[in-house]
Amino acid sequence: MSKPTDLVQGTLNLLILKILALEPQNGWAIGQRLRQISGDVLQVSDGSLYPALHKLEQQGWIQSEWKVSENNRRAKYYSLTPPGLRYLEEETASWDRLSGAISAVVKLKAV
Amino acid sequence: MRWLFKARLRLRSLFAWSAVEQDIEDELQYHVERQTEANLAAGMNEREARRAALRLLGGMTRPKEECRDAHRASWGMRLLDTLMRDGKHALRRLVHDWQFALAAILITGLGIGINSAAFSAVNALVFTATSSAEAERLVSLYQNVGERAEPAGVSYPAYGDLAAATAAFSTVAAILPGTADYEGQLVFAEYVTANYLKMAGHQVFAGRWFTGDEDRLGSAPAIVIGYRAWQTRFGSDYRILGQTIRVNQVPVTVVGIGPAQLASASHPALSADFWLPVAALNTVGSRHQLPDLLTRRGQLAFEVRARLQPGVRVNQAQAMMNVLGQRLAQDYPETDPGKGITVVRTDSVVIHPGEQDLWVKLMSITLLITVGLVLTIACSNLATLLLVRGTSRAKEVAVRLALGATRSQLIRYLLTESVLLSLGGALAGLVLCYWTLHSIAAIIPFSLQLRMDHRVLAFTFALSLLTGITMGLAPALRSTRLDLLPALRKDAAATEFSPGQRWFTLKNILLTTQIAGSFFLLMGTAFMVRMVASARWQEPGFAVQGVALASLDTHLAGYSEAAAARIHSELLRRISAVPGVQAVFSSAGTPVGSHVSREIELDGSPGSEAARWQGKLAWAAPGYFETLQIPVLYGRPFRETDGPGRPLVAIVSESLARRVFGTTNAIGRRFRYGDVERSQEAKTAVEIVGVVRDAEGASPGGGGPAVFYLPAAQTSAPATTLVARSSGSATALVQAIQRELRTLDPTLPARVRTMEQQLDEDLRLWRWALGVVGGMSVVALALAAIGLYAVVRFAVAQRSFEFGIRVALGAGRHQIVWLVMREITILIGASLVAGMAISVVGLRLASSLIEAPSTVHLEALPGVTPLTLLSVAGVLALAAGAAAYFPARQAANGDPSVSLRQQ
Repeated sequence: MSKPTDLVQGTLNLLILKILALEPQNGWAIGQRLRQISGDVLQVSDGSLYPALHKLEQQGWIQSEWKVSENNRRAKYYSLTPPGLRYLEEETASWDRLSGAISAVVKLKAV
Repeated sequence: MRWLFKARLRLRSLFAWSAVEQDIEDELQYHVERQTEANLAAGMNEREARRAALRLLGGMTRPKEECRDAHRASWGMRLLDTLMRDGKHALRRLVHDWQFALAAILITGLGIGINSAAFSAVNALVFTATSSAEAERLVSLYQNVGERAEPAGVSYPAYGDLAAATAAFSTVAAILPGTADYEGQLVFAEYVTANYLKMAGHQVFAGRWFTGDEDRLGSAPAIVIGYRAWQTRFGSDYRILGQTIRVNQVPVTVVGIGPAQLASASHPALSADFWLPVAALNTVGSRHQLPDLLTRRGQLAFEVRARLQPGVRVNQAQAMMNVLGQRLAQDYPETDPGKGITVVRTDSVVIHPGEQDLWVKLMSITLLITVGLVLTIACSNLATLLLVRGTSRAKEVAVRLALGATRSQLIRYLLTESVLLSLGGALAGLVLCYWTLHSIAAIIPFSLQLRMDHRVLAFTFALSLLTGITMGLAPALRSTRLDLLPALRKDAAATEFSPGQRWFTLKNILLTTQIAGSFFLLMGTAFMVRMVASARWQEPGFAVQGVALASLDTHLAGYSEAAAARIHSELLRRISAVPGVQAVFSSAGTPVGSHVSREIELDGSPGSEAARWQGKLAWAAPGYFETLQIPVLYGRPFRETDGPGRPLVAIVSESLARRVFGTTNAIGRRFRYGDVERSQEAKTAVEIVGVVRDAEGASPGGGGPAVFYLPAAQTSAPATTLVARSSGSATALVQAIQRELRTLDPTLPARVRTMEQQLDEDLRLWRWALGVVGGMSVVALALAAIGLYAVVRFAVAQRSFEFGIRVALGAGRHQIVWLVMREITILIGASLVAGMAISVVGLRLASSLIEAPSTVHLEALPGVTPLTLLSVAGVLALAAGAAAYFPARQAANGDPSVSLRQQ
């Protein structure tokens, strides 16, 4: 159970947006999904997930709506807004550049 | 697009914070339940499953708080959040102190409401757009006059030349805006050429417009009623069409109802009550009853509007008019000295470019001064209340400061309170404004379209914010600057109002402002009352009692010039035979109100600028001075022998004689008169045969009236008006004249009225302005009294402990009252002195600004007399004294045991 690094913490927004780009989800399901995709490498506590969601919503990247969940209860579902989708694309592109550069550097050192 | 999502959330967290809280709570709750379910499914027992779920979330409190923070993240949000909290708190306090809040809201409401109403008027005058179709193709045409070639009106003959310029304009119309009498009310009537409607691009609402025939002199007068007048004066009744109504006592036939959208030609915010054909001027026109209005090139009385030919631009039209102007200067060198013609797009003209119309000027001056003063008084009133309240809250403020609140936080909070109050005042003000506009619409003689549009709302809102902040700031600064210890130890308020303290406190300055301001307003009212009274009831310089006037229109009835002269002399003979009639004459124009300004110069001195004067021409006749009882000082009055073919003579007023000849006895001197526009050659030389006492046309700026009288028989002006003076009542004389007229020719259009009615017509506008200023000063006086009352009440309430002790120790009631009144009396005295000083200076300034129309006869203005000063001071001192006395007596009558226990 190592603490997630700052870098990973900073990319939490990106991960959330990516998950929401696939389909609208409620908070709990997003948390499950995060754990599921990243294995247990990225330790995102459920506690920090919700503030992140609310911040993203305040910034206008995602929007929320109360809907009936799969187990017939009211749950708050988040989805991407059109500006959020564009934002995700830009962020993905810059992430690709960054990670490409970093892994190149890391490989260089390993030689 | 993104801001849309953001804004929605911001608003939600601002105004529905509890819903946001609930959302966070529900969301986290759902998460825990869902996780618990999952844990149960994984085989945990119920208690363990829930605890594991909560652990994974990190407890409920921390994420909740972090989510809340996410909502308050931005700077603006934090500020708004504090403002909201301050606002809610302030609102609770104000509801608790509802009496104080109500008083403050009413006071600011009064000040703001009156200002909004005044702004609406200015708004209507400045911002109302022309309503005509294709307004950008409409131009206004002006003939230029004077040294600087300023645009003035257009003469009727020149209108004909303009209308002939078909290369530039498709339609050219002439309009003469004026007033008329309809059933004793002053209405707004426009005399227009028949093509006016076509030029404006409108259709009549019902009936028909004038035909071209009705432009010609001598046709039966037809009238078109304005749409608004039709609604307000005729109850939207279609049966009025075809009926005969009396305008200026002359019967006219209603042929149509005008278009609703067509505003007055003189201003788009005004609407005309009546439209009459230009030809009706000679019959129906009252104020404009100059015999030569339609024929003389020197009378630039008309407004001319034109619609540009398709494809012609304004500058092209201007070029064509330059050519026309030159041609007119060649053709009519006497009357058109080549100053040119100005073409302006109509929608770019607010009021006539060169014109300084009396009522616009009068209205704006009185409105600006009075309304501004009322607001100042209301504002200082609010500030006083806040200040008094601040001192009574000194303890609360001290506690807050001691508990660590910063001064800026406290000031912010106090400002929130005062802004809330002034916003409440703005709401009350809008109600008042709405009500005022409705009553103004009912009072003023014109149909001015006053609306409360977005500009008025914005103005009101801005004004209330300004009021709240500026008026709240000083008291807030004052009440947060505290010595903590004494304030906490004992009620600081008690020291604030104890006698023998500093005099130049904020409170005293504010009170002085209020009382001095109302003093000025009251003086203004007294000033205007005197002005109107002097014009109406004091000696106008000529006879009013028992004098009646009869204006005949022989032209309309189809009389030849000789026949007209015969009927005039026959009527003259018959009226002089009426029992009680002492003197009578018949002349051109009305003896009051129809004087024309003419340039005069000494005969034989080719006019340098210094040897020229402005004089007012009045047409007189034998019997004129006897009838009007104007004393002849030197020489003789006009005689029957002063006729055509005889030496040309004139009689001048003593002021003119003194000004032009340097001596009152100017008998035998000669002068020449002409038009303002006329060149030297056209001037007519006359010899002075008499000098009469100043009678009419004095201007309030000082200086007697420079009037010269000519015998109508020696001018080209035919007789139009008969004036008679009887030893009996003027009303009986009017009836007698009407009787004689009926026997002479029952079909002859005539307008008979008393001299008093004639004078009243000219004074109505002044009365209206008087009403405005008077109303304002009453409001201001009430405000100042309320302010004083509030201050004394609060001050007394704060000293109730001290009074309790004094009464307990044996002080009498009157001693307590005196204790309070002493300070107030000194304050009132100081305020009155300040008020007097402001009034003397202010009114001197005002009287130099206000220029009476030549038709209103004012003696050289009274200005500030000691009597008015004293009576106004008396009224104010009484009101202020009463406002202070009652709370003081109330305090003295209080039970000391109660007031002592309260502290």
